[in-house]
Amino acid sequence: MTWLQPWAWVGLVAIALPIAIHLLGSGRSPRQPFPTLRFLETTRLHPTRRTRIHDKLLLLLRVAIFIFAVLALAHPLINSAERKDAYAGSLARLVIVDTSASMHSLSDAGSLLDSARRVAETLEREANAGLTLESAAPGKALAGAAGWLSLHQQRREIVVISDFQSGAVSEFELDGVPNDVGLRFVRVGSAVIEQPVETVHQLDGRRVQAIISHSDSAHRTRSEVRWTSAPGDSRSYRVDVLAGDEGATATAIATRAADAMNAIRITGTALASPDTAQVRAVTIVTASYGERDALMLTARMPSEAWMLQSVLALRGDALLQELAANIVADSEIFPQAGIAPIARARNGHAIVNAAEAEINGESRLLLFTHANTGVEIIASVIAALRSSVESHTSYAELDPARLADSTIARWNREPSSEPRVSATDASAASTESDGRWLWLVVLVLLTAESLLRRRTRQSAVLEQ
Amino acid sequence: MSSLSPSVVAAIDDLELAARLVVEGLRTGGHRSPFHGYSTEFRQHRPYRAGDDLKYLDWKLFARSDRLYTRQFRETTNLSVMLVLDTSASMAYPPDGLSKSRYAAIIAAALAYLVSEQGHAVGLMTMQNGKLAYMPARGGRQHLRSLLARIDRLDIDGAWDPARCIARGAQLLQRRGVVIAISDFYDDELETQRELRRVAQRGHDVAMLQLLSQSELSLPFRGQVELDELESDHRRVVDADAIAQSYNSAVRAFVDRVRLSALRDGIDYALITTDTAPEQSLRDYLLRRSRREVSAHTRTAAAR
Repeated sequence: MTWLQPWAWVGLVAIALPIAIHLLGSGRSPRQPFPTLRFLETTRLHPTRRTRIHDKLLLLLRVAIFIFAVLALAHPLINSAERKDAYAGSLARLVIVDTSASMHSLSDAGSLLDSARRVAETLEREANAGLTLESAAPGKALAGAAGWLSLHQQRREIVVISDFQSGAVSEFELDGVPNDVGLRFVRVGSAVIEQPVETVHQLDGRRVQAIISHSDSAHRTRSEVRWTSAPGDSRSYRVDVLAGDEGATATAIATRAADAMNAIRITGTALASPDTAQVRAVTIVTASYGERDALMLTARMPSEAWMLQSVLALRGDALLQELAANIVADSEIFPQAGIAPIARARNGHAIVNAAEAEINGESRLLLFTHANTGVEIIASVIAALRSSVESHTSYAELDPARLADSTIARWNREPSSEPRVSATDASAASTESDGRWLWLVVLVLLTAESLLRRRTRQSAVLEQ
Repeated sequence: MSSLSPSVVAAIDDLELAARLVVEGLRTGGHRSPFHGYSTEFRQHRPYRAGDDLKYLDWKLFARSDRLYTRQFRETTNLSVMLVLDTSASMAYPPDGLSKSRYAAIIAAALAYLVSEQGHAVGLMTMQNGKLAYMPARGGRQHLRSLLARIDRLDIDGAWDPARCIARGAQLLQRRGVVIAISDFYDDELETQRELRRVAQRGHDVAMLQLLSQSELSLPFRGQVELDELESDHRRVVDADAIAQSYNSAVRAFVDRVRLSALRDGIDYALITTDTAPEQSLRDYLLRRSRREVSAHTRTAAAR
């Protein structure tokens, strides 16, 4: 038996009420009409107690009324054979299709994603109620899937179609799926990449090639992604910091940050053809730099596309803007128009400006910082630059490590065959539940209680 | 013929029918009407009818003619009977079954029927809504029907003033007659006795029919019970087991007091309980009354 409103069981506490009244009450004397009181003398009265057997029966009836009323309010649902059969034959299924970068791997038959979609269509059609959800994070979509399924009365199942790259689904995310919901994991693509694989990927609308190798050592798995080509879009940044002696500490920190950025070679173009490589020079000019004014005179509005993209990225960086807003600047760096302000202080003065100038014959993007800016501003400029040039598709998206077949097999489970009522139907549970029979019992008990109470009153008075 | 039980009689809605049944039962039992006129002047003979008082048979004429004839006297039709009926709330007891008021109505109706059939006049005196309500004593079938209908429609409610009803009832009798009071006599005991005595002293024939139920003579309750007095708002919670004996004694003492007072004043008295068939109750009363009259006549004849 299932209880649709189990909270109603709290009502059992109320049984204490009739018991308390019945046992502790002094009991009213029955009233009778009498022609005259002349011949009655006043007597000492003593409290009456309910000790006769039919009073105990009355108490039992009243307690039974309460119990059955609580049972009826809890809306029982008897899982009859018919109900079970009807339930077993129905299914609501939600299919989650992984659309992460690794699913865009191309083969002669098309991408893994296309294969996954074909499978999803078939699975969705097979169910009484079906829905397909596409998500780049299938594990995170499980909670939403369970929520949609809770609206349905049928057996429920979630199917995840993915290449099951490591991290696609975790045990923690599975814990959020109710136990009566079935889980099925359908893999597309290979479970393990044994040999180095050269793949072609569609990333951010561009076709790029990468070599993905995967090797098992005795202790750990290592993966390496090497770009073999990135036509027309190879980017390399070199960041320098120009500062005077007064800003030695800030300069040292900023230089170290810039060196770190340079060392990462964030687009991995170490193997890129030098002919296609383009080094983009960014120079941060601090307020303490001695030849700053001379540089300012030669500076002009940035003209190259990458410079403008960088300016836009820096302007859109939330951390840089927030840090700048906490500063009160004395004056503008470039009072004249034409220089691109990047970040403004609280009082509106620009404290980081972008301009283009040539240093040692090399066209550079110069970022002038105000005297009032500290190390934080310089570091956030470098961080903003880095995030602006990183590919939207991170390296992790091409990680060849996959979840083992045994793992996802362990996660598979069948949907429960126990009939249930969905969350939306719980409000209309009175039409579904078998509580009406219990209300009938309550009515019968109320009638019996009324009759017994009347008889008790009469027999207590007229025993002749 | 066995008497109709109280419950059967009570079930008869038609008061006139119930009264007739009671009276027929009396006649079948050979009862003679004890209500006679006061004149003894011979008027005429008439053929004997079943039920005629044997003392009025003319034996000499029978010896001569071998036929039975009854002597009729001049003023045998002059008797007036006034029924004084208690309609206070205490008469509505017991609430279940045959109440005293219904029983009293049947007795009164039967007496009225009996009296009227004998050619005498009968009237009614009651109290309704604190005011006297009456029908003067008259004869005739039409009047009897009206009287019975009036008895049937009486409201049993509130209190009544027995002394006033009895005094006024007697006043309405233009000459010496019979005043029959039917009540439980709970109200104004001393005043009522006094008034009855006065009426008897004025020459009227007075009868007290005290009507009680068995559950008044013996307290029927057990344990603690709250009793509501019918004629007032008074209530009392009593331990019935503790007071039963004293109550029963007090009620018996009351009844004895009323009876002795009536006897002392020369008033006809009968205690009627509602568990006795109305016919039986009337029979007993009429028999007692007849015996009293016979002894009175005997004393009168002896005195002459």
